Parts: sequence; C-alpha cells; structure tokens
Amino acid sequence: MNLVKELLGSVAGAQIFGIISMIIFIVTFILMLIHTYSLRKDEINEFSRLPLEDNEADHKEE
Amino acid sequence: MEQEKFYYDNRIVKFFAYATLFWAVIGMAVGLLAALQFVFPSLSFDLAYTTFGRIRPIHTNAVIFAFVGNGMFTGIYYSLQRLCKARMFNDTLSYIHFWGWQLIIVFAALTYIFGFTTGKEYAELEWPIDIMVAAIWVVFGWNMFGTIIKRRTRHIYVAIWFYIATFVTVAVLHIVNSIAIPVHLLKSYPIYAGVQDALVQWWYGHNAVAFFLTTPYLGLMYYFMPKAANRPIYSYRLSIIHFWALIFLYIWAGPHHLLYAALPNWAQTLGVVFSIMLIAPSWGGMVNGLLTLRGAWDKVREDPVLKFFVVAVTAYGMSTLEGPLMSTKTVNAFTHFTDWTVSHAHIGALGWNGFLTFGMLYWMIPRLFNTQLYSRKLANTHFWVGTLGIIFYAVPLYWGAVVQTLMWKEFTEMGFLKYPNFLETVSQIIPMYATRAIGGALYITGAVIGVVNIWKTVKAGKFSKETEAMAPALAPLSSKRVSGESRHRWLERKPVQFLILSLVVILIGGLVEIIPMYLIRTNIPTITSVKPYTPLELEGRDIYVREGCYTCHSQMVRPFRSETERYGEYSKAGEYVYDHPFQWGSKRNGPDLFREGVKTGKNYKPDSWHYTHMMDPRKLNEQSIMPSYPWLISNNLNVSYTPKKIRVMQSLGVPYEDGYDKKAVADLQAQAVQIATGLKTSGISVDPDKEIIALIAYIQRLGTDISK
Repeated sequence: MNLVKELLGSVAGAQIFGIISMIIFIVTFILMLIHTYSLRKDEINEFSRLPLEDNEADHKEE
Repeated sequence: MEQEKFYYDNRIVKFFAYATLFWAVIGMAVGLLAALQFVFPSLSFDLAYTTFGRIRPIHTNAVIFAFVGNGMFTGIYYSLQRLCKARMFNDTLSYIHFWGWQLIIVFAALTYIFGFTTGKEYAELEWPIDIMVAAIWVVFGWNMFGTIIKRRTRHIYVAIWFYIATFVTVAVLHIVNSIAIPVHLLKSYPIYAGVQDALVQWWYGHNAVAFFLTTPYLGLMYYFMPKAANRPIYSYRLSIIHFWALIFLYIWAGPHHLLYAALPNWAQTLGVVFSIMLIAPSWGGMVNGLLTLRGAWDKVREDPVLKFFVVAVTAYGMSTLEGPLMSTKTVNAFTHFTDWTVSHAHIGALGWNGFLTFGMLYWMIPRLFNTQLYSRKLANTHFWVGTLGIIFYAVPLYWGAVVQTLMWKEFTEMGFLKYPNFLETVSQIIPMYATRAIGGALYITGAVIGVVNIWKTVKAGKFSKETEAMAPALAPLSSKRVSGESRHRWLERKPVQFLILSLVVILIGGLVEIIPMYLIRTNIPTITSVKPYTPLELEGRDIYVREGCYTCHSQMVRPFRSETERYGEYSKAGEYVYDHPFQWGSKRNGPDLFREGVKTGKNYKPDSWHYTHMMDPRKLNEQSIMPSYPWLISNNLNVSYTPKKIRVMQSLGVPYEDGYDKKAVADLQAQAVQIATGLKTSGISVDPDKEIIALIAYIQRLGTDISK
C-alpha cells in the first residue's frame, strides 16, 4: 500500500484524475453507442416485447 | 420444444405490497409531524423521542428504505419471475428477505427514537443493524441471481439490468460508508474523519438516491409502463444507452453535495461536470417512458394507473433536470442549505417514487386478486389529491427558499448584513412551512384513500397464491449462433459477467474520487493548532450527534462574504481532521454553528445563554422554532465508556497521548466542574455531571482551534 501511496502522492496535481475520468467515460460511451446501433432490428423487437409475453393464463384484463 | 409448467410465487409479492402500504402511511405520518413542528414547535412535546432531530431520520429512512424499499421489492419479485419465466430461485430466501427487511426497519425506528445514530444522513444505522442490512441484502441478491440463472428466456430484459446494478452498487456503497469501529453495541465511530468522511458519506448519499430510489424504479418503469400501456417500450436501444450512461455517470456526482465546502476544488469540479452530463441519460429515460404512451394518450384520460405513471415519469424528468442545475456552483451557492433541497428531494420521493409505487400497486393488486379495482373513482381522487399535495408541498418551499437565501445574502448600503439575526429569516417563511404541511397532509390523505381502495379490492377478490405459466426450457445455444453473436449479446445472457462489468463501471468513478483523498496528503493541509477534543467535548459531541443537531445546523462556513460576515472565518479542511463523524449538515433550519465557540466571533454566547436556550429556546427568542431539551439538564452524563472512546479514537489516528484513556475521566470531571462553577457565577446552579455541561463544552470548542 505504501508503494501505491508514494506513486500517487508524486502525481503533480490531482487534476489528472479529471482528465482520466473524462477519457474513460467518452471511450466507454462511444463503444456502447457502437454496440447498441449494431444490434439487429428483429433482435431489438424481440427484446422489447419480453414484458408483454408472460404466458399467463389467468390474468384478467380490465 | 417441450413446454415446462411452473408457478410464479404471488404470495411474496403480496407480502411486500402490504408492507409497502403500511410503511408508506407510517413514514409519511412522521414526515407530517416533522413538517408541523416548524409551525407549532410545541409538537416536539418536550420529549427526547419526538424532537425533530430524532424523527427526521425516522421519516427519511422510513420513506426511503421502508416505503420505497418494500415498493421496489414488490415490483422486482413480481416482474423478475415473469421476465425470467421462472419462479423465484428459493422461497425460503424470499421470506428471509421479507421478514429480515421488516425487522431491520423496526430496529431502525427504535434505535433512532432512543438516539442511537451514527449521525450520517440516510446511513444513521448503528453497526449491528448495518451488518443485518448487508446480510439481508446478500439474501436478496442471491435469490435474484438464482432466479436469473435458472430463467427460461435467453435475453435478460433491461429492467433486470437495473435490478442488478441496484444490488451491486447498494452493496458497495453500504459497506464502504458504514465501516466503523464499535465503542459498544449501539455506538461506533466511522473510520473516516472530516473531509474524507464527508466525501465518502455524500458519495454514498448521492448514490443512495441514484441506486436505491432511481435505478430500481427505472427497472420497474421499463416493466410496468409497457404492461399498463400494453405496448413495448418506445426504444429498446435508448434503454440500453440509458442504462450504461446512467450507472457510469451517477457514481461520480456525489461531491456536488459539498460545493464551496472545505473539499479540494478538483473533487468539486468532478462532481459538477458529471452532474451536468447526467441530464442526458436521465432525460433519455424519461422520454423513453413517456413516448411509450405514443398513440395511447387517450388511455391516460381513462386509466388511473397511467395517470400515476405519467406524473411519476414527469417528476423524474423534473428532478433530474433540477438536480444537475443545483449542482452548478452558481445555483448551488443560492440553493444549498435552504428548503430548495428539501423540495427537490420531495419532487423525487412524492412524485417519482410515490406515484410509480401507487400506479404499480393499482395495476398489480387487481391482477393478483383476480378482480377489478374496487373503485376507479377513488383511484382518480387519490391521483388528484396526491398531485395537489405535491404542488402544495413543493411550491411554498421553493418560494421560501428563495426568500430566505436572499435575506441571508442581503447587505445594507453601509455594507452590513441587513438581517443579521438568523431567526428573522426563519420567521419570515413560517407561512410557507404551514402551506407545505398542508401539502403533506393532502398527499398522505391521498395515500390513505389508496390504502382503502386497495383493501376493498383485496376483500372483493380471490387471491391467487401462485400463477401457473408455461414456457420451454432454455435450450443450449448452437455453436453456430454463438460464434456469430456480438459481445454485448453474449453479455446480456450472462448475469454473473454482467454483474462484474456493472461493478467495474461503478467502481471506476468511486475509486477515482475517493482514493486520491486518502493518498494525497496535500488534499487536507494540516493545521498545527488543531487539537483533539477533550474527553468532555468528545462526550458533548456524542450528545450533539445523538440529538441529531446536524439535521438543522450546519458546521460549514462557506467562503462567501454573506457567510463570513454572519458566522466568521470560513471553514478549512484541516479543522475537521478529528471529526468522526463529520457534522457539516445539509440544511440550515437554524444558523451554522461552526464558529459558535469563537469568543471574539459574531455568534459567541456565554455558557449561561446556552443553558437557558437548551432548557427553553423561547425564553430567549419568542419566535424560535427549536425544540426544548430539558432532559439534557436532568440526565447524568454517562462516562463509563469515555476511556473506551478515547482508545477507539486513538486507533483511528487521533493523537491522544499513550495511556490517556486512564486519565480521561479525571480530566473530564475537572473541565465539567470549571463550567459548572462558571454557570454558578451567572446564577445557574447545575451539577457538573449533567449532560448539558458536556454539550456546552463542545459548543464552546467549535471553530476555536485556528484562533488560538
């Protein structure tokens, strides 16, 4: 733990954490966007209908 | 494919639903009492158990963990089984979860009433109950994951992602924020002090809002909104983006609760930036919920369930826009410590959580009981009374907040504070507090109407303990399909890997924020004149924590002229290094107390003033709304744990000299005699071994270190 302490303690300013966090976020966000838009339409439709298919016989509709 | 027959457990859903309604009424009633105390201070009844400082945590905890907590579990146990096409993994775990959670709530209420509290907002539970919470939470997670693993659907629907994120994040937050060293069974000191404690606490506090009040309810929205509207969610793609962006961003935003406080600037800025970014996913989610009703808006006119959902989702949108705006430094300088925060929180609690819960129950109960809702008219009445309640609650508080903050900041032409007496700014907004109480009363009236309606529905119907369902077992995937699929597709059917990834995502933000606070010494410049509390002051501080003084008084003078003029020198991070826990507070119903002890300061009052003020504040200020604390004058100070407290403090790094625990009680008594003798010269006769003496010692110590 002391080693880590020394290492981080020597960082000139803590500002670097703000920059790191921003980079991590932007990269993650872009990857997620790419993934989401690469999903096929039929898959999306199938997923989004999951709550409506609960295979229950005895539920009365109002 | 061969169909398998299985049964959903409805009984556990019913149990949680009843608990939700029960605690809703209790939690709101306590809130109403607290609201009325602002207008009628005599409603504290001069009793320790009913003072604002003790019932406010009962109200907040009851609403968050008892009402919303049980509401969340009701919805999760209903929807998880149906989305997984599987019964809950293990019925015994379900009922351990249910009864364990109710037991925790009862313990929480009892300990708060009797003044056993850690003094950290929304995390006031003492350590044995914290351990119970962790254990029951694991039972819940175990049961949930068991169910997900034995599911009969391939894809894990987005609502369940929100449930998984809730489980994993709340576990991390609760454990990290609750680490403490016990003094005895119902008293402990957190391992963090001052600025670190504040940062950890608000990292927790903010994300308790995010991952206890928001993500599980978003999961419920993604299930029950399509159910009630009988159409799929507007955009499933948007829900995926909503999920990942939300859990990634939320975890960073905690420091926005500490703007202009003695927290390093980089941490404050981090909090602001991520709070602003949060608008995007939050509004994405809101739009996704509302657009689900496209082409079905005519149904909203007819169906009370949809009415509740529309207002709930709109309230979510409003509070998630308002929150980021309040996180900017300019707005925060204006709204922080005022009723704006309280109003903001209630838009979320009454609108988003409350209305989503009621809408869900109105939809679910008739189905579980195979009947129609007893009265649609009553449900509509509940809706309108509740909506009016929210408006009557929020608008006067916003108004009052603006009036009060402007009064705090107003200077005369000569450059003096126009309203130097804090009480004047409170008296000015008492009518707003009265109207707020009316709003609260309306909302609780609506809730009672809801309970009656649901009770009548239950009486009229016949409960299905189980619901039969059919689905084919999940077939192993062919290698052809697996090789062609995308990575997220893989992830979406692997709950454990999904959990780990969610954990990584939320840990990144938490670690970047918290680790540097520990490791970089320059973040908290030490001040050599800052010394540990004397034993008597330490005991006094524990009384301060016990009575929940932090619920009305901050200990954080922000670096504004309006504050330094009113309270004195602004607070420095180094002044809090021995504060286990920190007591910065988040709301000023009374003045800041951080420089209260500075003899040359703006607010200094002699010991005799504090004595009389604690006995009956209205003897000194007729308009005061502070409760009386007569028991502090009759109670003897318990010093049997003082040596242990010193040893615990030493173990946390507070530099008392070696072996000081043995001398502590003698020092304590000597200082107490000195204060009691001083009081005698002012004509007040009091034994030195009373609690009031310790509290006075603590108050007179506040903020004095740097002026020595």
